[in-house]
Amino acid sequence: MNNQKLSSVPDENKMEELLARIQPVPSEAFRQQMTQASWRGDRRRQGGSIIGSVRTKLALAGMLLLLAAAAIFTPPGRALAQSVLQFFTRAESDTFYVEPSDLTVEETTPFLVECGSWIAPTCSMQQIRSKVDFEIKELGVLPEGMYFGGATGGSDNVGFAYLYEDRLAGQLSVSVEPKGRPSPYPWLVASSAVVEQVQIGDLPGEYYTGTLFQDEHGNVTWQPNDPR
Amino acid sequence: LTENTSLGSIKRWLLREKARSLQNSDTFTRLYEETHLTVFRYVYGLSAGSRQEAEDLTAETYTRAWKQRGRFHGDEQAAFGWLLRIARNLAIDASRRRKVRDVDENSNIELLLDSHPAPEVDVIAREQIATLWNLLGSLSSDIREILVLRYMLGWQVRQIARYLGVNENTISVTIRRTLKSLQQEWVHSQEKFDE
Repeated sequence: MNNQKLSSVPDENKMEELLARIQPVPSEAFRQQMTQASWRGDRRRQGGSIIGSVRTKLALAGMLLLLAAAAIFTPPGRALAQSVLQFFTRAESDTFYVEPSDLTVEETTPFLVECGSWIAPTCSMQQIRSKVDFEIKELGVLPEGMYFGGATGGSDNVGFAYLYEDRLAGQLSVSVEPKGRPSPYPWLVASSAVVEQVQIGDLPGEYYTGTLFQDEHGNVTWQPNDPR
Repeated sequence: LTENTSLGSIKRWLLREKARSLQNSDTFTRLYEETHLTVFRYVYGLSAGSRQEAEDLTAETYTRAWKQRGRFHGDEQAAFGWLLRIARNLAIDASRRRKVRDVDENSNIELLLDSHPAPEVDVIAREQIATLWNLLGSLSSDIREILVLRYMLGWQVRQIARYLGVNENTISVTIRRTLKSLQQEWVHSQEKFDE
């Protein structure tokens, strides 16, 4: 008796049942091979630039710095900045609701093609300066173990990051915007956030800790510390 | 601030955090652990090639995704769709390059089933699955993809429609017609065998 004879022609329901039973699995050799995959050995570079969900909260909590370039690099502008400018915009609440599905919409970075995304910027300071019509300052001295990670942005906002060589978490993100052009989406902090006035060299700045955390239902809450 | 502006700022913040977390080695590894079996089955079904080829394509999918992660923006659900699109392109390219199917391996039913198949998967069912797998290989790649998504991956018609960008009715009709067509092909293959 041959095997083919055993197979009677299944009806539609049986056909569906058989199709659902086709569940191949990769070999053990494949599983072993993938334990050596490239992303698993890329932690040194990753440690500075890209941070895990919990670490992200802590990293962002500590190091988000916004400079209004045109306002603060001239003496009158500096005085104005110290007395008037508020770099962060305070929201009216500590809780928000954002439909989770809305967040699958692709975020656009205007200089994406040339300079990469906000998450993985690739341009040098020289390259990014050539693309905008406002002044971009950078940190003159970097702490040991920290390095420039790349810049990107758009005509009204440039962002760049300083990364740590040997840390699994943490980065310094700098966002520079020209004076007089309102940002389409200002940097928000929640209503209860504690924003401190700080001095960065000769420059005024604002500092806060905290982050926005969204649960699976879309509820967004301000977390002054690590939310988990 | 207007409500829209606030919402826009909050979305930007959340998107950056979610996307940033995906760039992390640990997060990417978790994404791999959660999705690789599905991606493997998808490319295996789509390419209708050998298991070795499906494994190579799966590995290449994640390698490419990791290299291109800077261009990806979205949450983990979006990342899954992004991975499948990379996998699909690789599988289609592989199918085009491959002139002849690896019939010997395709007919090895043990490779098509989970390593711990239920006891009720009897001899007849195994033979039927082997026959069905070979018939799937004769379908066009777009039709085969619908069956793979519906049955091997267990997606709902609505999910398939959204993923492929076609309406649900088209998917449902295609599935029904294809099942009937497979039945006819099955009959023909048996008739040929009997001759």
